[in-house]
Amino acid sequence: LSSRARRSGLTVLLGAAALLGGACGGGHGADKATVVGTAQLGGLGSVLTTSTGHVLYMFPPDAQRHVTCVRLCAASWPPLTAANHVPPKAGSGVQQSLLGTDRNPAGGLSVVTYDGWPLYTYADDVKPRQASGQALDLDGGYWYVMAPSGQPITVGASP
Amino acid sequence: VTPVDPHNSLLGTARPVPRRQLLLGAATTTAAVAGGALLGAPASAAAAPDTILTEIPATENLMREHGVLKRLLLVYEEVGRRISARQPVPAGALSSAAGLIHDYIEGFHEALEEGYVFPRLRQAGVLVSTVDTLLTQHARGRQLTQAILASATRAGLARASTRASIASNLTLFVRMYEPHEAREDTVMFPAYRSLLSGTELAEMAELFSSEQSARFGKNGFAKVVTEVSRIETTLGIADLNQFTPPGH
Repeated sequence: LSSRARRSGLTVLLGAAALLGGACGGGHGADKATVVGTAQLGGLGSVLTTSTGHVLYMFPPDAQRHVTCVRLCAASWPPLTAANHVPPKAGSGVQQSLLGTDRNPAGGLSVVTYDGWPLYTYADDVKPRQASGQALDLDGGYWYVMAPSGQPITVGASP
Repeated sequence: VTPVDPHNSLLGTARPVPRRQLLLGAATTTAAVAGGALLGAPASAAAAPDTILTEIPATENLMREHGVLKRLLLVYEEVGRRISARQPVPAGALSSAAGLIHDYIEGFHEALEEGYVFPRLRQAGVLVSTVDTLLTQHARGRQLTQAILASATRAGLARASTRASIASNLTLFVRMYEPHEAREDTVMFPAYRSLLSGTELAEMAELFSSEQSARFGKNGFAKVVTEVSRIETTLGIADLNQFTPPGH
């Protein structure tokens, strides 16, 4: 892959993530903090969301340490990002002490973490309060929503 | 990267093809009619006439992946027919087909759409509500595939209740994806193509090809097609002649 294509592809992919992130409340200016909130979902209880109510997921292969969902994985699961040096903020029901950030291996903005778990949105959740990625096995592991306590919610989704 | 003729590359008879020939050829068929006319944008205005196409065009790449999906939908239809007719279903054939849909279609092809095609259309304000519908269908398809994979075992196929559930899920999947891929081929991809300059198209082609190699190795597409053929053979639907109706 040429560096030109890498740059262009990265730009488009990051553009896509920014677009989704913007729609999901992860978009931010240079000094605007990313806010993590909560929503009550039927069958799942209280779960972490973006500021616009889009559901956030954790990915067990991240092992509560760092971002492993990159390249095409991040196309389906855009990470929630935060402007560098601007800590994410806790919305209602969220514990500020559990919020953090991790370096994004793809470069660019940091990825927001909760109790060490990097947080992702799901490209197919087109509306707020949807959790169509819950308990889905894709891109090398299962995906789960998170409770404000920091625990993954592993209730299975049945088709 | 070796310049190839996409129509011959799988046969090992690659030959260089002028980019203009391919881009203009495609532009006069689908893009110009459905995309260019729709959006009023030239499909390949920036293509240099003397450069060589080094990759299959990005949209053609996506469409040939749809060809794989179409063949797997035929596999699903055959499995559904056998279940209805109370005939044996080789569990391996069903799990292999569902596995290919999971890994190749849902984990790779749809990720390309989610990461590159749909955001570009959204950004341009083109076909936005259709994009939302297609994304929702991706989500539903992945859930159905997960259920099919969980049941596609010898024990699962031996139970009447599970067989009925598999047949139902296969029918739902086929019913959804036939119009899904047809709409993408005839509307979404031409519209996407019309938004890109020739340079961007070439870059996307290179990127898509690179992602495929990263996931499935060299000649990944050919390997997938070979696996589909193997599944078809197992189910007795590999011979194209059998689908020709008798003539007079």
